[in-house]
Amino acid sequence: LAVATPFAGALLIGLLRAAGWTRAPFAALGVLASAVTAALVALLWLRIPYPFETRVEWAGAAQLGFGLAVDELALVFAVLVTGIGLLTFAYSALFIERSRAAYNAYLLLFTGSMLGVVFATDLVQLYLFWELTDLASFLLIGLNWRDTAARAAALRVLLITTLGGLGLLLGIVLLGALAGTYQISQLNGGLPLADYPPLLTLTVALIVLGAVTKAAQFPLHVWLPPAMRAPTPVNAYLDSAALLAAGVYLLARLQPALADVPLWTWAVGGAGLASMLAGGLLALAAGDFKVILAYSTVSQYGFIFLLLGLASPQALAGALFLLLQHGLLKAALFFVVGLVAIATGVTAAGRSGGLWRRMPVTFAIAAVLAFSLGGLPPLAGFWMKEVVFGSVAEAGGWVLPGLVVLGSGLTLAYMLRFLRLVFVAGEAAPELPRAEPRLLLAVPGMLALLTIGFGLEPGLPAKALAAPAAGAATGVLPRLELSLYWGPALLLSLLALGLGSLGFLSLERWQPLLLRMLSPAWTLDRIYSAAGEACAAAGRLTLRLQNGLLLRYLAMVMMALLGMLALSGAGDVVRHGVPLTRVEQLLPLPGWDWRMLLLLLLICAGSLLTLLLRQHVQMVLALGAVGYLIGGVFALALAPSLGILQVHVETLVTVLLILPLAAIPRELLERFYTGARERVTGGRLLLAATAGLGGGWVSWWVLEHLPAAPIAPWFNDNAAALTGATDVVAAVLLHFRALDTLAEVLVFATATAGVFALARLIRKERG
Amino acid sequence: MTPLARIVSLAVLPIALMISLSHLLNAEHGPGDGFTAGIITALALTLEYLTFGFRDVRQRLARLRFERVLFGGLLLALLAAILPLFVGVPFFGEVSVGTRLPLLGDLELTTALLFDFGIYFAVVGGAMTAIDALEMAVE
Repeated sequence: LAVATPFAGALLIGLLRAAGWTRAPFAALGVLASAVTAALVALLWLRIPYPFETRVEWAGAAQLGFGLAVDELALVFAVLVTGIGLLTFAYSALFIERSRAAYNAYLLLFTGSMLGVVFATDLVQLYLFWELTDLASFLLIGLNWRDTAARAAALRVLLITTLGGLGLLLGIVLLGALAGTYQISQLNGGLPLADYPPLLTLTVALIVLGAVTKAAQFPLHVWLPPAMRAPTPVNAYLDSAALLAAGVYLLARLQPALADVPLWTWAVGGAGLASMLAGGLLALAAGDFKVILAYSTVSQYGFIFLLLGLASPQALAGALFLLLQHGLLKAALFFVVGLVAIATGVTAAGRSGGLWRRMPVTFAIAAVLAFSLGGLPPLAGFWMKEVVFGSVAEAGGWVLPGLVVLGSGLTLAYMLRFLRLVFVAGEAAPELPRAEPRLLLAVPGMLALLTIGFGLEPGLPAKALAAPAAGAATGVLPRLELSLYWGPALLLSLLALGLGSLGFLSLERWQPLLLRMLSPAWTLDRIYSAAGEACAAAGRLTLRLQNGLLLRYLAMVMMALLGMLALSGAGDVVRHGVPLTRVEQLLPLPGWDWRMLLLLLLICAGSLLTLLLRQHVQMVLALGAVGYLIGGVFALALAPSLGILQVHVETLVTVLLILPLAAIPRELLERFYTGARERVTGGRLLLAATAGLGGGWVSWWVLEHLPAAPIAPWFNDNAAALTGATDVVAAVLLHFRALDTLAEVLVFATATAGVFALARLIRKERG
Repeated sequence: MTPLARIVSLAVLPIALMISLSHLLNAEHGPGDGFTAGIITALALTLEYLTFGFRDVRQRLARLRFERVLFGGLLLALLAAILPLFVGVPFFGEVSVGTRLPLLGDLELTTALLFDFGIYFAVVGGAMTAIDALEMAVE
């Protein structure tokens, strides 16, 4: 029900909009739907005994199921998604005066698909909702579709995350094949994975690829910064808390099953480390407020991935703790940036000098949030870093703790720089901001109070949410120690704080160096555009190949077909010689008599006639006659269904062929009929001859290779008993092979759509 | 077209529809099925086009949008595949409601029948969409 509510809300808004209610209170509806969802999740959390799972196997043969699975891990994410979601709805209801129907509908769609991901019982189901979140984020980021940059950003999100999603799908299929099930709870229930290391490694690589793209980890983070063109509440929701969290959820969910593979630690932890450092450096170099926050998200998720890579229950609990805290902080920071933008219209560094004096409350809130994320005690962010340092110090060595210290130092430095850029530095803001919007301040203010509270009482979120969730995922309840004691973690924390302050104070000295160093980092952008170029080149090649000359298409199709035939057929002949035996056995076909012989002769004559006739209409009619004769053959060969169908289809096709002929201008046809005959070149003759012979060869080959035990008798014997259909053809079409029938009808519909589009194109060209 | 042809084609239409229906209802117990039935109906409609002229017929059937028939058919077929899930039968499993319809004799209402109807509408809609599109382009 919790999953269904947002979808229902989105649908309702869509329907109202379609019904022409442009002034309906969409924002209120959005708030209402998300509140109901949040309440349902809370109810689930507090009242209903979990873990529980309901599941319907809807495709038994493929072991695909659909259903709900609720446990502590899922609930942590659900609480995050619905909690931040509710705040986002409330904030945007105030933010955008008359928030649009589409906006609220897409946001609800997104909430619903995220909950679908989190509560999925089956990997394939998870993938379905995973892609739905991609779709929703594409729609949200491209919301302002008049803005070219927003459209490009939306497209980039779609391309990159869908690429990752394809990797994930492959990984899921491989995993399902290895484990023999797609059910998540069984995967983690200690089911022995098939013992085949290379394939398992590939599986892990693909799944991690999916998670890395979703969570915007280096080097696939390139979609996140451009996505900042979206409305600010969207960024607050998608890019800080929810969308990226899907990647973390996937890894947290599959960690028990897959973390034993050696690649896991390297891939997940490595991506985390790289993102932590690269994101931090890029955040120091960026100028747009929201882009700074985006890079900071990349680096903070780097910490989370690092902990996931360590793959212990302890580290997983830490990762979830980080995820929750970061979700709160980053959403609040985005809200603050949105406030500044409303009040002054400034979104990038340079024109907001001295703003802190004019918006003191906003500044105070922002400072608390930024200090918290930077890791200053006694705020919640301090404990985030403490958790990371604790896990890293446990892992041992010098390199890893050193790098993490560097990463958190960077965090503090860029958060301080963020504060200075937004509220202090630059020319004085040109226009006086109006009074600070009190109501809007309430949302980030609440979150700031929360971060102070969690700083004083860090055990609350850790014990209530993170630890049990990690316990549910791994089966071992970890102890998340959060108390101030003199240990390596505290030492590292102090070291990081010192480094961060130092880095911030000396920023002016080494920022030029940083900028120079970072310029190669834009090659990632360049790779993305190069990929676009390659696609365009392929498109041009296609245009050159598909030049509208029917004859050339035909030639290419035939040549490809003949090439394949030659490859497969030649080897066969070499090995076995020209086969003759089976065809001789088959020759006395059922219904084989003089009538059949006559029909076959007539078919040959009709085909020859088609070749000799010169007017197109005559040719089509001759072809139609041949079709009827073939129908007669079917009827004689005891396949009446096929015979009836053949005659009907032939009639329809003849009409369809004659229709466009009527459209060809009379003069053109006259010229064709009276002019010189189309040249019959040697090449064409050769092609035609080989195509004909090749087709004949295929029929021959198929007859020779009929399976020793044909399947037809089984259908004949069992059709009536299993399906109650006395007509075997119907039994096959409607029961045994119903899925194939459905697919064929879909193909038919697609072809029709093609005809429709082509015809419309022609009409348009004619004007 | 001659008056005779018009009368014949008018007479053919209901007969063709009846044949289609009998193919549909009798799919499981004799030659012919939803696909054949769809082609027959499409042929009958095409005959109307030919005798009365495309414009005339199209105007009379202005409210009948064949694209919608096509999509409706597809939805119906999908529905037939999904419906069994709700009563605990696997995807594409068979569910039958054992009523006997008056006049038509022994007939089980099954999801297979629903599926066949879906195919029928998809075929009629698809074929006629193609012909309509071509006609429009030609004119």
